[in-house]
Amino acid sequence: MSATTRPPTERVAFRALARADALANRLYGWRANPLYQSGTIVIALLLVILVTGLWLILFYRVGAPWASVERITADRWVGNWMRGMHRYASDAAVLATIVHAFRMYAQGRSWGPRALAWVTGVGLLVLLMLCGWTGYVMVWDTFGQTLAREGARMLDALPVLSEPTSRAFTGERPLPPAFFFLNLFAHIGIPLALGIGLWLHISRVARPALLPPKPLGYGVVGALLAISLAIPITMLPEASPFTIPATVPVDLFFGFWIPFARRMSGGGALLAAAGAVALLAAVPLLTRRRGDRAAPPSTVDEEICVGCEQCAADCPYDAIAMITRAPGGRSELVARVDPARCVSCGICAGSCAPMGVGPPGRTGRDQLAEVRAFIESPERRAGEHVVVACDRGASRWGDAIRGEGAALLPVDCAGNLHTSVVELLVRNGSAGVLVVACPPRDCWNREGPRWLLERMYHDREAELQARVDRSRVRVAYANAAEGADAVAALRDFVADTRPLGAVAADPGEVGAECDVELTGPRE
Amino acid sequence: MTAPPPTPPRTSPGLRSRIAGAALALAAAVGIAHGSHVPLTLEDGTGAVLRVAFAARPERIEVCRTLTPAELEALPAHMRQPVSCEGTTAQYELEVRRDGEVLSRERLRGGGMRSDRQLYVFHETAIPAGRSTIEVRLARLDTAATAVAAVTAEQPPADSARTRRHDGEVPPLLELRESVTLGAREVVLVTYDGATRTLRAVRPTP
Ligand code: HEM
Ligand code: SF4
Ligand code: SF4
Repeated sequence: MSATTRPPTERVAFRALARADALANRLYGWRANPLYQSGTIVIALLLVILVTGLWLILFYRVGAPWASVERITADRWVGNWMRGMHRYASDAAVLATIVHAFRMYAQGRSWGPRALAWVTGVGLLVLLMLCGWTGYVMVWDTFGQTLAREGARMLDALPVLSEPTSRAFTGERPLPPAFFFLNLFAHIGIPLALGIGLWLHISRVARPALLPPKPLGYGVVGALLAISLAIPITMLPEASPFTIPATVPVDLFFGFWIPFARRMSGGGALLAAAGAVALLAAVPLLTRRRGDRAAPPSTVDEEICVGCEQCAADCPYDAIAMITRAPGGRSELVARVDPARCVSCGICAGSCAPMGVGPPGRTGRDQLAEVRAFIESPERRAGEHVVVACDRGASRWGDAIRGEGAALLPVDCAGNLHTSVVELLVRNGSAGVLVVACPPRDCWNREGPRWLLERMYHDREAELQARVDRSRVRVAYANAAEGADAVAALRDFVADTRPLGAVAADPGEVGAECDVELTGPRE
Repeated sequence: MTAPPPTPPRTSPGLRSRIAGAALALAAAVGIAHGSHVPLTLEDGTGAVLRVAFAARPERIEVCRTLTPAELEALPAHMRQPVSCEGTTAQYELEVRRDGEVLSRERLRGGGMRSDRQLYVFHETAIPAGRSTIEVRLARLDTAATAVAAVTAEQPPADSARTRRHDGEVPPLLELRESVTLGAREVVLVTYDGATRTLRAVRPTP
């Protein structure tokens, strides 16, 4: 599906994201672009939170919560620093989770088989917020008390508890250690639930990226270290039911809602929170593409499939299984797509040497038919450079690319590209083929550019044939906001290929390594 | 054929970009740390608060009626009790005054679906800081007679009612009158002490 048929809000979000990505690419390079790695950064931060939390728990006392935290905080070089790391990592985790969710929304990766990841993601965000909530209550300072009282107001709106929770904080009697014990129990239990949630969250992606690349990981931890030393944690006054603090320093990441909730009744605040969560969880329904706007799942042509297992290995969503064929078939195994898991990314179309798999209309055979029509179109000139670019990426800069005298062949995703398309272009007299893919970690289909490079340069099935002159083929990266980079890459490529001179067209047999006649797209 | 490496543009940023990137990362980190302590004004800071909060067991009232012979006949033999009693709990009125001025007056019932659980009170009223005379009065509204009248209005006439006293139940009338001096943002709590069965005011300890 082309990005132009996306809902307007998603398009606006996408434009903003592409610009932010372009800036981050410039500053950090695409390998260490933190916006691409927001999900893995959250996991790295959760690990920091876990390690520092295990240390803090050694010194925390449910019988004297505030006093024990005060003792930790007074230790300027270890205790305070651990608290700082624990707290700032939690704040950063909320921020990174929001960036990650925004990215998924803006890229339209929120519906269909991805709905499970989306909905569990919302659950993870809720758990993260609750974990922070209980964490601040543990300290039992004025902010912790504010959170506890707001929470109690909301709980009391539910007709489930025989005794209103708010009573615990009125000062009628001292808060029992059982309260702090229960809170501590929740604070430790929620991360376990987070772990299970995360497992579900990534259960539908193959080879999930769990940690950021090392330089970025070290950078994130280093930045946390630096701020927790430079901006030490200070103690707030101990919570007291008999004094109301004039101002409470609020952690915006976990308490942004307090000013709004305080203007509402407990029930109103609870309803607003439940409504916000329900709305977030309903995004897969709201963004779902229907009818012909929804790209159909991939299918396998069992007459063509030779059971090589490459598509099953490459599918970024583990949607292809190899099953045993009925005896007498052309191979022992045959690929089978699970339509409930297939997001129609089309990566398998580029995996299959005999071109037997892919979403309808986007298989290798369909691509070859399209590129033949492209080559035969009267606008083509001999010796022209061809830029193959992703629909949602550099192909948005078609005019600039054509302005450089090159032809543009837009594709759904460069990771879908069957290498025979590149071969056909080169053998039909193109001076060079520049494939401009989205930067690898930006790929909407997760692993497109990765498999593309391996097929072009590292003999991954279905590899670009050795007979194709590699000096006339190049891969570059640019996203939808990096038109200048795409053009710069094209200029470099043109300059590098000029000395090679013109190629003689050799439109000989190209393509599928199988004995099925290549006559164009199959029904 | 040796494959030349792909040459994506700007895979590694230049020195100036790196410096700008590090500065931006640091600014983001400092932003996060500041976002972690944003002062939020919760109260205007000049007034004090009168908090009335307690739980108390309402008095239980049983309204009884002698069944007619026909009604008795309709019951299974093992359930033929000549007098049938239904339990309910008393209602109360809570009135809160400061320096004679009524701040709130509300009718209270026991908690739970059948109003037969503890009654809970929790409300806070802003009052000026300084000296105040606080008066809190909790009075039972239902007497056995009003309970009989209430039931009789809807059902066959009730002939008797009795209040069933338990030790923990709140007395029919509770009154507190106390002068307090509160600083800004201080809270005085008026609560019911189940042990002495009185209302009492609790102030912040200096
Ligand atoms: C604790 C918070 C979270 C963590 C640690 C986390 C982590 C991850 C990771 C590691 C992946 C796999 C990335 C890959 O290898 O391609 C992923 C995918 C995904 N996440 Fe999250 N995530 C979190 C919260 C969220 C939230 C709040 C949402 C949205 C509301 C969300 C939506 C998604 C979606 C839709 C995918 C699937 C992408 C695809 O299939 O192409 N995540 N997440
Ligand atoms: S289109 Fe192919 S590669 Fe993509 S999810 Fe479906 S089966 Fe997997
Ligand atoms: S890549 Fe093609 S031939 Fe190989 S298993 Fe998949 S569909 Fe069959």
